[in-house]
Amino acid sequence: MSARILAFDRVGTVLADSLAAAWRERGGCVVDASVGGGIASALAETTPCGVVLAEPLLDESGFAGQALSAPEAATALADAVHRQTMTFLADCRAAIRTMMPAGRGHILALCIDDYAAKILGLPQTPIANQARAAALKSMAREYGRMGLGFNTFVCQPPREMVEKSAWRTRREQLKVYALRYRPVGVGGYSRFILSTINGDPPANGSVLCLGNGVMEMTA
Amino acid sequence: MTMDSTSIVLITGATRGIGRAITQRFAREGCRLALVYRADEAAARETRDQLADARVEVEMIRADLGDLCACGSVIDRVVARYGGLDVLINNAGRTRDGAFAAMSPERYTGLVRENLSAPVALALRAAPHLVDSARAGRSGTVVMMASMAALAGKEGEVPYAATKGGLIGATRLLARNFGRLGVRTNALAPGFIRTDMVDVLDPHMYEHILEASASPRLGDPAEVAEAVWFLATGASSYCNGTVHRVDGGFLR
Repeated sequence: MSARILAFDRVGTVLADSLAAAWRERGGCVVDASVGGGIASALAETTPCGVVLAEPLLDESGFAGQALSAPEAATALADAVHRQTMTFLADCRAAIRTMMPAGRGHILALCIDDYAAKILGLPQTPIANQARAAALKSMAREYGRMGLGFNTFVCQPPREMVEKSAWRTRREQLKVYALRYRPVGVGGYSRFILSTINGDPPANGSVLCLGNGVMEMTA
Repeated sequence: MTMDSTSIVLITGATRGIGRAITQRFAREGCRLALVYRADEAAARETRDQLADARVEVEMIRADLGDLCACGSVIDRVVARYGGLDVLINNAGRTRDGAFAAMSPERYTGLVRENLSAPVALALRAAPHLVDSARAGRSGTVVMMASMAALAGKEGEVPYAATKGGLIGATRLLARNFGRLGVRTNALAPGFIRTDMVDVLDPHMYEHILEASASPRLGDPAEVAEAVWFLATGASSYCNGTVHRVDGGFLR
């Protein structure tokens, strides 16, 4: 295992990209599995200290109330949910099988708080978020005793994720009062999340809700 | 928003375990039922006969919900028979236990489709009819059968927990998108209920459940059915997008 290598399923998203940049700044190496054949292929060649699964990008805007009367919308969303869940589970399984022999490693799932994301017009879905959290809780129960850590980070949309003006124009719709005025910068999230990789945190199977003010996500 | 003999209720996984208890609960009120079962013809026949004896109107629908096209057909059939739909109860589900690291994706792809994708497809296909029901002041509710595994996690059941977590997310998605149209969507998270799934537990696990529960016993399917009834009727008229635990206080 290399304590310097962090593998990502992809780094093209705001949160994952920031996390990868922060890891590199600390002298670490980043493996972007989206460039090759996915996490399983990437992990066949290296054993990282952690695997990061970038925030899901399933657009729910096409499934808003009025559009849902279309039969194809139902099948499209159901298919997308299946595809996304299967990919997530396969990535986690590959990560577990790779890191388990070393007796340590982290699997981190990034999520964007789906309620605020909807208001800000971002492509997120609560289905993927909740499926990820439930799966990682179960993995923590099953593999935590083998030194593997599994945590879900649910972040309010970072400041950089939408146009600066959106924080003003949509302010009234944001239920989290503090978020209206002080959205968290993506760097703040990255620093905190990386500290959990380096610091052997007393959290496993946790859903860590990050942001300014009260979060929406917790079940 | 009352349930009576004119109410049209679609229940998946209706002939066994919790689904059977839900069927009996709604039959007791004389609702018109559409019951989906996968393969157990004997159980379906028995259910149909019992309901016929009780003079309950019922449409038995055999369907493999793993085939998403079947979801549309199920809704079409209910509407063709009854002219609409008031309540959808997404109860069907199964488990696939095992060590996750050793479980090939082929072993759980069907589970993900049946436990998560199908309820989502059914709810979306049912949505226009549920909106009509809500607008007519009849009902327009969806109940998703999630699980404590989705909330607390469960070793040996990673894919199952993921699908049930996804159902909780779907509950929120539907509540947000259809709440303004009058349709309510809520989820139930049963704990250990006396069904076939739990009957196979070894005595050690059974003891663990009793010791970890504020109410030290297994739940009865009828107790879950009562909670489903609550969520499906006007008694829960201000509940939308919520998850209700029926778990005897497990882990408290």
